[in-house]
Amino acid sequence: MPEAAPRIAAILTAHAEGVMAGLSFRSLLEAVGVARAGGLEVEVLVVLDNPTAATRAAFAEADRHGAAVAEVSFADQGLVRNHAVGLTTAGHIAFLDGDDLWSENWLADAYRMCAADDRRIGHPELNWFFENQQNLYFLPDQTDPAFDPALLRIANPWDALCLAPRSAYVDHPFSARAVADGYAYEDWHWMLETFLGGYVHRVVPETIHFKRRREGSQYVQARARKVLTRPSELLDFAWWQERDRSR
Amino acid sequence: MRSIRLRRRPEVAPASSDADGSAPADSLDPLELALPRDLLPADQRERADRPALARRLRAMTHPRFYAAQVGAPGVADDVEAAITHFLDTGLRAGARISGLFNPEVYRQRLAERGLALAGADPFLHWLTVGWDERIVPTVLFDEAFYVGRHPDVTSGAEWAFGQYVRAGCYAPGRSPTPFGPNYGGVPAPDARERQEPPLVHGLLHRAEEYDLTRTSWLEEGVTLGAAKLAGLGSDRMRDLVAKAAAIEPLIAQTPRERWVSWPPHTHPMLMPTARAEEVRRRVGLVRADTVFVVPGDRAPGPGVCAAAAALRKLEPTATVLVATTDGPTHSHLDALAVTIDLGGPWTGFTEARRLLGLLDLVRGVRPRRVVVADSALGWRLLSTYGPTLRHEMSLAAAVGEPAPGEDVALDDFQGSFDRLDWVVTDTDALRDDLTARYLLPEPSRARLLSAADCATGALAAVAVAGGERHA
Repeated sequence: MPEAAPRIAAILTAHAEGVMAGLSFRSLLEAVGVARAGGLEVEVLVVLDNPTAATRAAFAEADRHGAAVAEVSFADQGLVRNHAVGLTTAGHIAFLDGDDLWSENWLADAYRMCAADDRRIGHPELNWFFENQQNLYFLPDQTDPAFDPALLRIANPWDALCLAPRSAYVDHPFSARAVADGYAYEDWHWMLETFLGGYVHRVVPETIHFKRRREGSQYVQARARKVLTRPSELLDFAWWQERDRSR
Repeated sequence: MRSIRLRRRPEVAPASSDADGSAPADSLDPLELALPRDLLPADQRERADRPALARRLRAMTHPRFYAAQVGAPGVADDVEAAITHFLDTGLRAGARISGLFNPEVYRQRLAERGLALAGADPFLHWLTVGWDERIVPTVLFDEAFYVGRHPDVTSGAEWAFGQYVRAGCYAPGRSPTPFGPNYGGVPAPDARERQEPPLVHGLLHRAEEYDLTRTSWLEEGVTLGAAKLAGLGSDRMRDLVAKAAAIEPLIAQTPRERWVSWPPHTHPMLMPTARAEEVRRRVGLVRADTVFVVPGDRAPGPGVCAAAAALRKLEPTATVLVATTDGPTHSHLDALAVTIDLGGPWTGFTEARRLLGLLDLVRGVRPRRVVVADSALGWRLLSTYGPTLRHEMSLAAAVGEPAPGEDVALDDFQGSFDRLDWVVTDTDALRDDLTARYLLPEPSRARLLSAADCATGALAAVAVAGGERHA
């Protein structure tokens, strides 16, 4: 009998986090433990993109914790994620950056919410920023009547550290970064495309992502460069006019 | 439409305020009015015509917010007229003259002090009793947070909420709650004179969905946001945080400064989104061949007029959109053009937010080319996002002849020229000056034209080349 595919792939991506990535890995393993205790099969993958020696060393014993490790050379977070999806078989996929942490209930609670509908993408209720910035950001639920999707033209209300069905990543792979041409924010673009693709971005109650804010993070760099998200139908007034007519 | 009456409010020195926390009587021009005695608490009726109450009423008045409730647009820009209207009819009709007073919140907080309205009007009760008791009558002001964030307000005799009403709500950096400085709003230069603090925008957002006499989008949002924040105190959430902090202790570090945002309800990009949608619906177009970005508050120069005429000759059926960034005046660049004013909808926003609005419009109608002429915001678009936009559309500009005693805006020109398909100057002399100043070689010289060059058809080659790249 072939083994059934795991329900969840928990993927940690890292680059130059060094020993700090061990904290994220611990957090991931705790969430995996909670999910498994709840009867959910989880595969664990660590993908190192052009890792520093310290980052590679941080995962030298990852296999002892049941994690597979892959090393790639994209220098592009979106392409790393696309590649990582292809290395897993689970029906739902969750990403964690190498300097962030999940609340321990993230995988289990997000899966329970998303498994009920194959067009559902789960986001944490709260992004808890720490280190250089200590803000709290409650993510919006797309089904909240107060949520105005026009916000997607002006800002990205979600981020890629979500749990989503495999199809969302396969049908809508992340765009390559092209900072030299002025395009970045691949997370934002992915949100636009999945929204257009009919996926519904939901918030998983009582879940938290702890996000480290450091000087020089990719997000901070992108903001400083004044780059834009790639063109999308969702930025096009024609799409909005059609939406107005259909309501 | 009545003209706007701008009345400078007397400067008040908080440190020398009188005992009731309002400003000293001898520094003000007391409003000659009397509050309706029958609506005052019985034991306060002798105070009906006291200047202190008039001053409190006046400080609390937000004419635009009031006008939206009573259907009297004529009082929206007139503090005195709004007060008169309120005392004549609005008060008895239940309208709120202040966005910082909520009757239900006041009732609740009054009850918490063991007090009751006893038949008095809630607002007049607050003006007399509530103010003296220092009861904050709104969810939009968290006194403990405000004092903690702005300890300077405790140095004078003035009550913190009184200070916020008088000055803080008009100050860009003042934060009445954890939900950001004045809810992400930026006061217009004359906001204080008009008594239109940024929070009024939030109060009037989606106004049609609320009974403004009772509540508003902003008040509901802050109430929900506060409840969301309070949820962090649950055993479950505290346990989750503690477990994560056991791995990474920095998580539990006491924040130096912490802002809280929640996009459906409290987020700095909500008002910009609303303005962007307002512009989208107003413009009507979903496609334009050419977008001109001009100030609109002055006549367009010869360069941009020549470019518009040349493009119309080249593309007789083209759709042309003229976006004015600084004034609603139709620029008459092109008789067939559609004009959209960005200045009005984006009043009260920072340049960065206004730029997002222009960007939303420009990307929304997917033009083949954008031509910027004399608009500072337009030049900012080119210098900031030009390197990206040039992959999506042709970029061009018109450079005006400098005013006497001024130099041409060289920063704009040299910061953007490399990404522009063409530039038109008002005069041959300016074209020659720029050519000489930058030692422009032939390929670049071909992209720099004068208004007179446009009239001879010289624009066609560069415009077609640029347009074809993005057809």
